[in-house]
Amino acid sequence: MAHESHFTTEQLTERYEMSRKVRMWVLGAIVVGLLLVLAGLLTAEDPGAHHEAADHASLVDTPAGDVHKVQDHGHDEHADEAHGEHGGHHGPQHHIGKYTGALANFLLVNLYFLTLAMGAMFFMTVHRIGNGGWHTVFKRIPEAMSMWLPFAAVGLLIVGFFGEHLYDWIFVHEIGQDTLIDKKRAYLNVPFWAARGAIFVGVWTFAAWLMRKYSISQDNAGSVEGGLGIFKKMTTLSALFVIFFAISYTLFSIDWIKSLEPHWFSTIFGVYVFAGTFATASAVMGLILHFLRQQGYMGYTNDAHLHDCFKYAFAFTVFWGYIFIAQFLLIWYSNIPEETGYFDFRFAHYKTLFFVKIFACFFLPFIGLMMRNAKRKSQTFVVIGIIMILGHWIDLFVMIMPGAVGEHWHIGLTEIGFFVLYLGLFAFVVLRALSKANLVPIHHPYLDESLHHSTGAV
Amino acid sequence: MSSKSYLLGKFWHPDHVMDALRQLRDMGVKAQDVFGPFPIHEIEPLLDIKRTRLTVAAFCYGALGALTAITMISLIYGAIWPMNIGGKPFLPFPDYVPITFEMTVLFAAHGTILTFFIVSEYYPGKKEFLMDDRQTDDVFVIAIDKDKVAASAISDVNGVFTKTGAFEVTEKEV
Repeated sequence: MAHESHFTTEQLTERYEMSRKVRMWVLGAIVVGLLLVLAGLLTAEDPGAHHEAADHASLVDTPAGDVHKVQDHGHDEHADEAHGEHGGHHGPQHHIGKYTGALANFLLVNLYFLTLAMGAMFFMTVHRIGNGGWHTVFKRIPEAMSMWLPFAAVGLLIVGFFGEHLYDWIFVHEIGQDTLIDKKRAYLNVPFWAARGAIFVGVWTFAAWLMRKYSISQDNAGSVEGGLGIFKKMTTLSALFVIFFAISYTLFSIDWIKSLEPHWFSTIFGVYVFAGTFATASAVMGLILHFLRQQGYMGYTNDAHLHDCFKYAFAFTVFWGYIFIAQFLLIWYSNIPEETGYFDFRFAHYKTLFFVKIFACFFLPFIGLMMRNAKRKSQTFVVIGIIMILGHWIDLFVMIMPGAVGEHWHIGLTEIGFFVLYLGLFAFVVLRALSKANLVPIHHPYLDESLHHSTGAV
Repeated sequence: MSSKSYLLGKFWHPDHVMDALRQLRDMGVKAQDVFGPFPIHEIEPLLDIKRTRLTVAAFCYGALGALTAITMISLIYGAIWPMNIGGKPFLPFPDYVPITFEMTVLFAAHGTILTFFIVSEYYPGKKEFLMDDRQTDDVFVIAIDKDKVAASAISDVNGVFTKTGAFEVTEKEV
């Protein structure tokens, strides 16, 4: 019908090409990030140097993990009383050396960009099984984002080899040193942990690769009808992926983030990580779409597509706030000493960041994206998107650092460097994946619906 | 009540409706409304419908709900009847969050839907009004206010209807 005439075939089969300027920016980010990381590593100080005696003492004094003993111990010690630590959370038990902070940061950036890729994966699979069509026209963006997964796998593999410098439960490897960790040995042991990590990231990477392969082979199918068989395969794959994702993402966040503090329990932790994941991934998707439109591509998308991307970002910031308060409130309200240690430690040493993240992940995006036009006008959604991106980073920082480096955190050259470096690498991988296929899945059955997408009266 | 007369074009297919609306817009004729069994989202810019202010109302109701919740809990637990629950402070702000959230949602949802009913004049026992009985089943109806079309243009409008695939072109007095 009439819709065919809106867009020429050339428009729909256009390909993205990295312009010189974009190449320079991406390369610049990688180089600057590398230099910052190197400078940060060279100027790294040993935070344990003057604390070592104290750390050592607490290790010897406290047969750590014996909860009752730790509690008694805590009541005796004035310093702990002052910090309000009831849960026996004295910071990590492992040695915090010169490069522990850098290693923890490496883990942080890898997890950060993995969450973006996984958010994109979840986005496209859940739309496929829910028969959502509106996103079809920019479907190649989440597909390209998911192409980051193998690189995240490499990063996590490297972190895994140095696991004992970050994870208390790997560090405390002798039975009898820590009762609580001993009781979790059946789950928290290195071979099982490594196998789980390999299977999860491996399956996700394979699913992402297969989704993209199907999607591109659909382009070559010649017609919508010819691609229907592939479409069905994509549906099956998506359904399987979403089921696997639900279980594996919870376990993955427990394995790689929560187990940094192995004494602590939270059954909602996986959902909490997922909330941040999806909110940020939606915002990033919207920003990439905006970037492509700025570069002169995707002329066939309209403001409604951006609007709905940021609707997701808006909705899931509320979800994040909900899960955040749910996790906090139940621990705070029920006065379980073993659990309050988690938040006590953060209040004692991470107070500013803790409140900054509540603002950056919830209040600012919630208020900033509430108005309809805020989701459609680049002046607002770019600013809020960047706030969300930084907020998600701080969120992960506050999740990871207390367990990895205790109170010896700082945000300096290494931290900024790693983020800039990985931003550059991520941008390169995503943009290269975008340039390798049509920007539009031309034979996708829902493409028509997507081209007609509208969010109502303007 | 004065009666109004409408020019009606009845269609089987939503794409034909869109075609007709585009041609009518080019002629400078504004459709009063389109009735159909399911929504056509992209139709709104063509109908030149003004943006609803219902969202503003929803925000106000939500804010009112949040304010009510905070005021009530503060008054009750802070001043009128302080209670010691688990040794927590008398004004535990984290505790407020779920209640405030629920009250915000409750007020926003009920306020918005009631406002919608009042504005659209929906009430129990209202006699429904249909341009064509089949509009709830499989027929799309474009209605044009006859008074707003110049007498000489009426045949052109009907011509557009026929040309774009209307299976029936009529008039209806309401």
